[in-house]
Amino acid sequence: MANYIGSSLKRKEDRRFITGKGTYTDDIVLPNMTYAYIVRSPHAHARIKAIHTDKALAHPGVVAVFTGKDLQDDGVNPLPTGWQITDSMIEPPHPVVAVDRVRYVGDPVAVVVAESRAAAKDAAELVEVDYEVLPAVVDATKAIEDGAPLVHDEAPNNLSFTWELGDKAATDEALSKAAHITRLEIINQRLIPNAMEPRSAIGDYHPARDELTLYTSSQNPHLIRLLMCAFVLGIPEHKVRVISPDVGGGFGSKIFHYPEEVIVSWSSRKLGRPVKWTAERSESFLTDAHGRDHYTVAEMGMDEDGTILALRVNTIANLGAYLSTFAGGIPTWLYGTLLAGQYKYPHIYVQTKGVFTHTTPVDAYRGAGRPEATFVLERLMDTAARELGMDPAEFRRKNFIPADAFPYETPVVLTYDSGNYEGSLEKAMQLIDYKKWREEQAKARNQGRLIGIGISCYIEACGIAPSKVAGAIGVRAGLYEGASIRVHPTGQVTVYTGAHSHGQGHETTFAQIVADGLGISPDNVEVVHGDTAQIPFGMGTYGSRSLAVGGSAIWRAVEKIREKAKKIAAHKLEASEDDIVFEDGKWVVKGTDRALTLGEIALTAYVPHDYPEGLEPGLEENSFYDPSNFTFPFGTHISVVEIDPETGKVQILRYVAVDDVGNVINPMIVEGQVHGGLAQGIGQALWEGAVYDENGQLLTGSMMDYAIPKADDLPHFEVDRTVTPCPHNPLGVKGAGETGTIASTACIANAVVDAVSHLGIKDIPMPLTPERVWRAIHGK
Amino acid sequence: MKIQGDVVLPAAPEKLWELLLDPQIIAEILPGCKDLKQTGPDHYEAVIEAKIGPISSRYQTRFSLLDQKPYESYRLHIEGEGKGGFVRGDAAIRLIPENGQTRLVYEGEGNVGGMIARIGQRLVEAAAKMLIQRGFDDLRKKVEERLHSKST
Repeated sequence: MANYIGSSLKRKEDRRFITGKGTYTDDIVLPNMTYAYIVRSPHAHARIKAIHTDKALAHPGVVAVFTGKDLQDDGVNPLPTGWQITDSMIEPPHPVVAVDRVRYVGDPVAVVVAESRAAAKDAAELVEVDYEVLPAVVDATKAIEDGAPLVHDEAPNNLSFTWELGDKAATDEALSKAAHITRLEIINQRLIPNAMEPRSAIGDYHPARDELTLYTSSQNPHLIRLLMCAFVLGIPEHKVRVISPDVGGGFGSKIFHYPEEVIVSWSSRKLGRPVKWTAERSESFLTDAHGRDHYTVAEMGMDEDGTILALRVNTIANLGAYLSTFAGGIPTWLYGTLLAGQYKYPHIYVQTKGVFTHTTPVDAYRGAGRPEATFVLERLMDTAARELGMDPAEFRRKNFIPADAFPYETPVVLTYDSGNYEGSLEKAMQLIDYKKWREEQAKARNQGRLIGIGISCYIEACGIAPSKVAGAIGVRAGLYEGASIRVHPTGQVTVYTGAHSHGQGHETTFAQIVADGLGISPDNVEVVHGDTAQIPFGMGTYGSRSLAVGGSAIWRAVEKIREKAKKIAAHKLEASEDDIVFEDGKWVVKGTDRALTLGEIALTAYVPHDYPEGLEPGLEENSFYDPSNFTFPFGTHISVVEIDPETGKVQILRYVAVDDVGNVINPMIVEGQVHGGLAQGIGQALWEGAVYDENGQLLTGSMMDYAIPKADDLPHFEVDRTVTPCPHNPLGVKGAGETGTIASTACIANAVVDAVSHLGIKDIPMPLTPERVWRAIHGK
Repeated sequence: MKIQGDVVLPAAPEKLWELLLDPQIIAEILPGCKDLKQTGPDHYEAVIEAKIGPISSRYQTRFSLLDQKPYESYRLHIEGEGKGGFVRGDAAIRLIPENGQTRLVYEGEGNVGGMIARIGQRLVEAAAKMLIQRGFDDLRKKVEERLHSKST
């Protein structure tokens, strides 16, 4: 049997991507199409006194101008949120288009639909909105103070929820007895996702058939259909088709149900013509859900020997102006449950306050809660080791969950299924030559040079999730995945997956699985995703779940095909079913050379002239897979940086990533995912950060002021792995999409602080720009 | 954005006062000002064209000269909208006599929103300072011209 699993096959999808032949939503041009431009609030907080649309309506080429009131009067409901964090969580309505108040710069206030994009944009400038500007609050720590401007009247102190996990009394007691407490105040700054393809949506309603097709740049087409049909528009789900064609990156920001999807769908129903909207880059900055934005106080207590006793974490999470689709879950369940990391913590207590502000809504961004948790933990680890006079690697090793302790239950409700933390630390230290760099560091210090070594040991809970657990923690959805495999009469195969590829290479990885599973070449496997009319159902791609959950669903369907094929083979080969085995890609009569290939079996299934009694013709199987647990990738990253004391500029000299993502289907794709994740994580550590002024104006609203990393900012990445297969899914895989982001931010921050710690510097807030590092070094 | 500074003008406050409130002078010294219209006593409307870096914008603005204490102080309030977003500003202006001349001290707060804020923020403060400086240079010239033409 050809072993495609485990080989670095070139990506099938790249032929169209690198030749510019991809089809993204904005590439789709439909007959009679119109274009929407959205008038957005320039104020962070204001009352809408009046909207005058007459001048815009009179503009040549304008088809219609809609305001929030038009949608409201037509029965359009607010956008729902999909994750209830506490029973008392306050969920203020999120109107698709603002009606009487705007709550962040970028909040939609009117929609102009015209014959061309240019006419829509010109006319949008003629929409006059009378605002009464109201005071705004952008900082979550200020928003919960008494007397702060209220984002929603129904949320006193701007608090949506206070969530907690762990045993508070036991944690407090353990900390009170600790010989040493390490305390850090951490700002995990707000990030802007910046997918390469801006969001785009087309609503295409056919009045005669009463059918709506929504094309949308989404990671999650089935969920968008469900939310929009059942909650927002109240239209029948079976009359709506959602297609997410090629999507150019998401990083979480395209999971959510956005106002524009409703706007184009509703407008198209009103006008009986297709309506397209595509974000300008400036709109992407303002309206794609942002990430992170935590203020945290973390305290970790140790005994005299440096054994960890307890961890207490209090976090204030900025949710932005409205609850985005999964907003509540990110700074709570996807964060608090990860706070044990790789360590034996007898006690952990975490509390998160979710707070509204007059800013863009915040939701999942690559890693989603887990990078924030890792940052808290790994900064604490390094700081504590320094305070205790221990080597940071030694301090971690002392407190690791040992390799023989799995399954391991943490004080924050997760049960880790597997792990070998010492193994990955050891491997990373060898690869980078840790001992040598400590010597180099000492030498450099004597010469006045600043070299720092940063370690980050992380755990991730991904492959989300068992639906039972999802339900128990307030997710208003199941988290299984669907797949269907259609074997055509010629033996070629189409795979329909509910996962959605927007850069992950599913068309290749999934084809490799099916190829090995059915004894064919990946060239004979086509993977279809992103179309609710073709795929039974799907939960989309996020949380590194595509392979662990979607891939497992595909594998289950493969097994069903194999079972049926076995029956056909037994009949054709005149053998007992028990004697048929799948070997070397064929169905073989055990111990003989009599065998059939998939092609031969498929032909029989569709031309069943000679066919087993009672067996249905055809060869097609559906499967839904609901995992029994999360998967738990882990690893160690180590970096070495040198800081120029004159300028504060950080140069990364080495970066070693040792990840354990379980079995690997396509090493090249995994490596690519790790590289991308590293770039984004290092981006947060060194350059990225959304900045609002005190009135709620986004100051970093373009790539001139929001610095995303470029290739020449980044070092050569040395990527390696250990392999501890996931014990509970059929492929033994865990997910690799987020590990890089989760580990690298803390890794670099630790290295930078390590480089300057001998100057008495305990912490520098991110992003660690030359200015901030220079100020820290020079005490200015 | 905080705005503050001062400028010495070659006339005593008593002579300067009416020039400062003269719509024609205001129209001439307000950078990029077009179509100044008086809408009431001490209330005006104007179109202001501003260019900051790569972005040029037209603002429909309204401004008022408030809290007037003749020869001593007043407050300038301005707000406007345009396709680049909005501008608003509020400045307290004091006139301090100084050897037959006047030191005009201004102190206030200016805000911009919309595209200029997102894209041009780091240019805004420098641009505002430059525009204010240019306005006062023009004012000084006007004052000199007026006084000169009156004395001849």
